[in-house]
Amino acid sequence: MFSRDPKGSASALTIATALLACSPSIAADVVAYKVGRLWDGKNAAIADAVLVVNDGKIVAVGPNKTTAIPSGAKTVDLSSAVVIPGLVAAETNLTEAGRDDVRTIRPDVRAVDGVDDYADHSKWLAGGITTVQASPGARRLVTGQGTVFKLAGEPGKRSLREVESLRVLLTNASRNPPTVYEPPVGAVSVDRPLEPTKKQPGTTLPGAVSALRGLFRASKNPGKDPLAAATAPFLKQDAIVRIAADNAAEIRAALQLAETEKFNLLLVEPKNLETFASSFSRWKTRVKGVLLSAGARPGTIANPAVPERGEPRSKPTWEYAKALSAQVPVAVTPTSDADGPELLFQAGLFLRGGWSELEALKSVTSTAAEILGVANRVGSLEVGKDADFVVLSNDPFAVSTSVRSAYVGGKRVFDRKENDATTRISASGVWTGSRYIKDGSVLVQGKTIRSVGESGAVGEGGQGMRFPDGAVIAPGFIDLGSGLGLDGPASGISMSTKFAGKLHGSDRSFAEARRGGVTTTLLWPGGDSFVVVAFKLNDQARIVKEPAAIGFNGEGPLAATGERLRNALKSGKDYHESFIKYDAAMVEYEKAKKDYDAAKAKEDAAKKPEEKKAEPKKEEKKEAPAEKKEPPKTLARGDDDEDAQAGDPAKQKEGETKKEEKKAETKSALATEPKAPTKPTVNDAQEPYRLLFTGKIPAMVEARRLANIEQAAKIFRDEFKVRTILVDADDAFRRTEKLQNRDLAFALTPAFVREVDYETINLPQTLALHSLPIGFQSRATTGVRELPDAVRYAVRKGLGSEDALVGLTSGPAKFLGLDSIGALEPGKDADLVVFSGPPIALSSKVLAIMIDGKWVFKAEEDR
Amino acid sequence: MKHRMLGTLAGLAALVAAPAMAQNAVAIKGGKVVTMAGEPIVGGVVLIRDGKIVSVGKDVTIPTEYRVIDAADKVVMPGFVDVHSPRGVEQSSERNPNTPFLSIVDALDPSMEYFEECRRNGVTTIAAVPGDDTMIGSQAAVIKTAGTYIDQMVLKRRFAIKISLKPTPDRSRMSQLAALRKEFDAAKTFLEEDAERKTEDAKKKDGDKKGDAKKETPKAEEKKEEKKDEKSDATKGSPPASPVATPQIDALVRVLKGELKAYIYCEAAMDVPQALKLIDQYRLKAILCLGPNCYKAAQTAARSRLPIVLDPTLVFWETDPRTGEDKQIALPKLYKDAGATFAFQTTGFQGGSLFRQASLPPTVGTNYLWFQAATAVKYGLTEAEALQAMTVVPAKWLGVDSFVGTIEPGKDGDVVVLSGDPLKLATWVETTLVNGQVVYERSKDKKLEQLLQPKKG
Repeated sequence: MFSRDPKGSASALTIATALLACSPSIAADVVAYKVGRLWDGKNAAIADAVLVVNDGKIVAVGPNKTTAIPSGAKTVDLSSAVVIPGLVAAETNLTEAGRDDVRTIRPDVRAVDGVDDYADHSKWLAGGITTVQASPGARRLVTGQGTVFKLAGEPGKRSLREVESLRVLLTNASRNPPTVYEPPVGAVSVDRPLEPTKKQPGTTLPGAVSALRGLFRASKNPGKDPLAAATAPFLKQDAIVRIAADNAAEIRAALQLAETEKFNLLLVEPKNLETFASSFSRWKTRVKGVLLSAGARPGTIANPAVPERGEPRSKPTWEYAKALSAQVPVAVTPTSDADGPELLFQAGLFLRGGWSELEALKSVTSTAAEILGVANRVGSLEVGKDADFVVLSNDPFAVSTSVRSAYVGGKRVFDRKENDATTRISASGVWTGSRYIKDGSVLVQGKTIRSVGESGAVGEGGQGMRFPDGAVIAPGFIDLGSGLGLDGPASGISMSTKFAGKLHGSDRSFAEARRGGVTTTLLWPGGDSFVVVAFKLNDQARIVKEPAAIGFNGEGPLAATGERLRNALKSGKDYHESFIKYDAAMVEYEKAKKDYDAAKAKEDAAKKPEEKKAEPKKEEKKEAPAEKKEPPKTLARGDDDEDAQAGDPAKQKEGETKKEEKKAETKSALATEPKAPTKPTVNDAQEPYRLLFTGKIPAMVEARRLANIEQAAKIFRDEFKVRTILVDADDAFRRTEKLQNRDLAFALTPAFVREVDYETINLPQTLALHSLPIGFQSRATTGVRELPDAVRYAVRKGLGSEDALVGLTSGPAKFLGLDSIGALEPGKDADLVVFSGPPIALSSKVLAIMIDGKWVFKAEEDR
Repeated sequence: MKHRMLGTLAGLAALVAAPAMAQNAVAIKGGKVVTMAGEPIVGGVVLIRDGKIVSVGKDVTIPTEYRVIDAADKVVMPGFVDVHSPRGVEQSSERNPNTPFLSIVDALDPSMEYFEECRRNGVTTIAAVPGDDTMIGSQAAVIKTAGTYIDQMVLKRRFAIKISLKPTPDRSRMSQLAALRKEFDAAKTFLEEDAERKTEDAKKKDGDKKGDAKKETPKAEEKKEEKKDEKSDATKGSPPASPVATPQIDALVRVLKGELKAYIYCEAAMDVPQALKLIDQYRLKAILCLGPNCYKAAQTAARSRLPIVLDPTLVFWETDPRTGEDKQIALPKLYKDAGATFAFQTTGFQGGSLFRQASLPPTVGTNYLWFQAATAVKYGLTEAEALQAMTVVPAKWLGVDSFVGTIEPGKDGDVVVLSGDPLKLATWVETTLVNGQVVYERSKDKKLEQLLQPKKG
């Protein structure tokens, strides 16, 4: 028992030590749960608590500081979680629901007979409910005897109370009992006539009450009557009759019955309590408890009744909870079995009525257990009680709290498995690629990011992973050109190279290269023209885009280079245009073909009745038959059409103009069957140009000298109008203004900061200042890991750290059209880097790297 | 009791065999005689005379008057025993949920093809048990599978009643159990009151009773039971204050007294603990019939040490609703691992007759007791255990182990000649004998011949 007074914790200690002393071998089975915050179900929460469990029972509980953990005990770290007692649902129909007995008064029916100890109750356990009361039947006056059992544990040992209370329904649900027909066995005869069906009592409230009164009176002296005998035990001093009563009349009837027949009443789900609000204090004598339901079904919407004129609006039940619980024990029950698993949510609604969190929690734990008479075993986390507890992600009534796992008898019976693939990564800051979130979290599900935001606002679930103070999460960096991927020198790459299956993720240099935070790179082999592939630095070397761009060499003597580039682009453009032409011709052809087919079909259709008609009308059209027998193709001629129309008087009546039009149309459409255009031959080496000219990929043109840069910009941007990234662009600082507003981007190579003409040139800074998008190329293999440091140096020499970060992440992702990477946004690939501080700070170390939702580097595990 | 039984059977056998005296002595010269009462005898001979086995052994001389069945290279086994067969009747389950006073014997039709199938497959003794759909079903009987009239076939007319924990459609399990308890409580009350009344009666007419008992001669069990009925009827009349045993109460009283066993059908695992509670509460002598889902309660069922009849579907697959993982459930393995003693039942020749319904695979499958046994061997039972589960084990449970279940002198001449090792796929029943009479010969089985002939056209 955890307690604030030292005496209590001392006793807990002695019990624990006594246990240890008498049987040291048991220590191996002792488990100590270190809990972030523990609610024991009776008192306020204790932070940093310990719960010690041995053989399914709690042997010690209390604050970590004052509670001794037996030596040899296994320790389970739940320090990031909140623990509450297993929830108790005080009324459910978790027996065989929906199969009510024919007879409306069946006090001898026992719910325990309908409990399936072998059933899987994961759905309820997932909601943190470990103990339930189950009632038999749902639509009869006296449905039978309830039972209390656990939802998990060894079959045969789950029952807590076989017989708990007698259940009576005074509500509308029981007002329609079926008539009973039980013919005697044997043939019908004069002596054994067929009897009519028998009506049952309880079709009205007074009828139900009088039937109950009769039953209770008979039970005072049951004799041989099995129904009375079954009822008698529930009228005793310590027994309970639970009566479901909805409206004021039913509640009053239930209260009066309890008063006159002298039994202990458990009032179930009363709704209209206005009338009784002033007299709750008088309930104490007979009412041993009230079960309230929120009346709201989580996640569903109902239409509340419009109050009658002059009648007060019926208030939600939670409005009475505080006043009622001051007088009698009040437990909260699920509104229906379907909502049972959401008991915690429903109890949370009662906070609106003025209950404290503790009171609301009690109503579904200790108080419910007391009402059900099982408080000696469950409902609170105290020494000697069963180790039934629930691990929550947060305090029980916090909005995004979820049940992580549930324990019954010290055994884990539920574990949130479906979210195993979900990881919640939290740090002091998250830089998403466009904004900075202080104290943020990234929720990763599978390979993608599901949510990014401030911690606590990213939704529930997920295995938590929190980085030390100061850590910042950033998107994985992009290197716009490395020599990685081919497990050797990057050679033999041409325009027709296909990379699928050729990239080696097992390349050991990958593990070295990604340590700096680069998660995606382009393979930059160099050469006159070649395709560029973008891939991840994970073990699968997953290709992000292929081709991601076409690389050109724009360096060299101006005239020759210009011609070479123009020729390459020209032939590429021709190739591209041949397909455009083909596509256009194809569209035209399809349209013509469609018209032709339609006309032909029409002709054929017109022809058929024509042929039939032709037989009897032979004299009229003597010259026709020869033509008719020709194949349908030749029939589709203008004069024949006229013939057909002539043969059809109805058609002849049509307007003259329409006929003319039609004639013309059919003539032109059917003159010849259209021919399909020939498809241009596919040339693998030219295929990337089609992507280039449709704007799907950019051209990456290497140019260093100013003249070359300007020539490249002119040819690619102005003449051929393709998306262009200038690579290297060493001299771009010289006439930066001229490169502005031309939709150019830059992939810069180290060193970014150089001494040129006795002047320190910081090229990234210069370009960034002119609002030109930049990215960075390492042109290295394992040296890829140094790229961020090279950029940090540029920052130290004047580049804005924001510009640097954009240039490493979202910038290139944008101008390369790599939509799935470069930012921490929902739906993007889960590529991220966790730094010990601001990503660009000199002091920052890489703590962990994730690619496609998998950790590929963790500093703490690094050796 | 045994004497009485033997007497009747001998009488019956004599009646049947009367027209052909020469045929009542049969010798089977077997390649291998699996007696189920010791080691198999290779090259053994079984002598059957007047319906009874007179001699079994290796060096047995065959007297000249014996008709010899040559079973060289073949295997001779005792006739198989089916411990739970709801077939051989037009409708296996009564619609009235409460009929312990009925007897299945009245509904059994020896001319049904089911019995022919039994003989074809070596099943010579069955417990004819009502189906699973009646709360308290009719009384089960133990019968042989050969005979023209049902009375010739009966071994035990009143053997057990059938109780089903599967609720009738208009009920829940809770109502079902409440109703069951109500019936048994009524019988219990009657029994207690009857006992009181009897002690009083015994005091009064002590002398009369002694005389009665002496007069009783060893007769058929059924006769004795009938007589008892008359007696109880007679005593019912004499003291006017005593309660009247309706047929319903009378049957249940017999169950409570242990004169009738109780087959208890459990549809789901949750029924198993309830069945055990009932058995414990009313001290029933029970045989558990467990549905496929009951495997979850295999440990509980095994701990009860009660006879268990497995579901006909011995192996099936289940999909875990949460993980979507498929799991194979092999009942024989699960129950064996749990330490249970069990026997098999068959699915029972679905579709009426295997010859009429050509679409069903007719010659293999769960219709056959030895297929069931062979399946069990595949999933962990030893061959010896499997053979016992077809013969001695059910014979013992049915209380007819002094007549059937083994090949031993003095037992009924129920013998099956198999073409090869039992539990092998290619083994056929060559000859079946019931009470020393050949009731099936494969060489004369025209139906099987037709079935196995390749179809023309």
